[in-house]
Amino acid sequence: MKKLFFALIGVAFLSALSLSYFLTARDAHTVEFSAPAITEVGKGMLIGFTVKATPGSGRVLVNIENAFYREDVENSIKKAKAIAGDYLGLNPNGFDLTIELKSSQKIVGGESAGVAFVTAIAAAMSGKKIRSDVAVSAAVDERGNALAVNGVDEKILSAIELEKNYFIVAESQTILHEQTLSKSIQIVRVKNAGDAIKLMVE
Amino acid sequence: MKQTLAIVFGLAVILAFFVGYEGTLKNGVSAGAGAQELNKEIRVGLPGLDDQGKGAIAFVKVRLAKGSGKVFIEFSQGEPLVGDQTQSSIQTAFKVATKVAKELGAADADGVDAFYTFETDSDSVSGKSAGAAMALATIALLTGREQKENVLITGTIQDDESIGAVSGVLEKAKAGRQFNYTTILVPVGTSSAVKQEQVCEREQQEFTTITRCQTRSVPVDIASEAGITVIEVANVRQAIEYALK
Repeated sequence: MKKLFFALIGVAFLSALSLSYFLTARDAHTVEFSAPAITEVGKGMLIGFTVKATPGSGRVLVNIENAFYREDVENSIKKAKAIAGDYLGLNPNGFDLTIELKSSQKIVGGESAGVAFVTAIAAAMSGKKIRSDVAVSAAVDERGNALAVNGVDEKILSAIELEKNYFIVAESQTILHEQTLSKSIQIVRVKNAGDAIKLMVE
Repeated sequence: MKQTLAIVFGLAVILAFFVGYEGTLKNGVSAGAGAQELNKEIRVGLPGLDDQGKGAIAFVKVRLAKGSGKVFIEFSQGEPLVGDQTQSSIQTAFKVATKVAKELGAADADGVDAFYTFETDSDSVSGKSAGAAMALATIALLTGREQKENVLITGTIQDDESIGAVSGVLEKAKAGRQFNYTTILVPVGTSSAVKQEQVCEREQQEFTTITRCQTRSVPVDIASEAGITVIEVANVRQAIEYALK
């Protein structure tokens, strides 16, 4: 009887060990998204990124093959990870994130992709995806509040050219030609990154 | 008795789950970053200057994984921000390192991704002066050679494998000595420096003594001034002779 019991414990132990392995050794989840930007000559464009989340220890790895990242972008990414984790109620240190640019740029700078990074990281960590018909340009502060950015008119124009249906901005954002631009795209104002996540992540 | 056995059973299952889960996470067993580890990692000192212009030693950890030639830097919480000039330097260092390692017979020089993580008390690392150090560290990993622990290097890395001049070599050499390095490799022409020295002359006159001071540039031999062996190297291949075992 005792032998049977210890044999059962051994089997249960090995089963639990195997189950835990398979639960964590799942495939990485990759999300594609675009961040509106301004070129050196002041033209708007959408830069494609991928964010991959895997179970890990909180590392954020950025591929510098296609571009160099200014320090404000690095700060933006660090903030975005913490905010996404807070929103989802997940420990961001339970994930490794790998961020890559889809095309070559010289330098990526500015904080205007802050909310975009938050939504992409939230999608990657929760195994979901980002709507392809939405673009967002807003910076984010440590509390997740969405902040206004520069050059938003040009960015909205580039989103229209790429046939996006919605463009998300911070509540406080000034748009010089809002009336004209909103005839071609729906402009949505958000207070914080959480609101953007609700709209963009599916 | 039955209750005790049931508790033991439950605890065994919970413990197994916990051990498996944590162990899997720590070993990075996933299809993500670090999944295909080559188990190759190295940590090397980087001489630099702090905000006050004083010499300091930061560290870079270089890790290789099976891949396709991508280069990653780590931006995690607690790690310093990495300036775009340093990023450019990392790219060049990796390109040069894979080329040199292949010529030295490294079998898998093309099939790796590299990961660079910086450790420093500063909030950020900037500039290109760590280029040569990162190239050497990457070559060490690719060729399976160890780096000598008591040798430092400072200098930029160029596409043609040459090591370019940097500023503050004297301060960096002094910092190296403080961290118990015995040798520093420097770019050609930088083993001596100039320091500003105040020189005063006294002139005794009838009722008084006049002291005249002026600041002069005085040549300095860095090895003597810093108390460390200084060796000039023109390129990465020369540096390999001194820095790798």
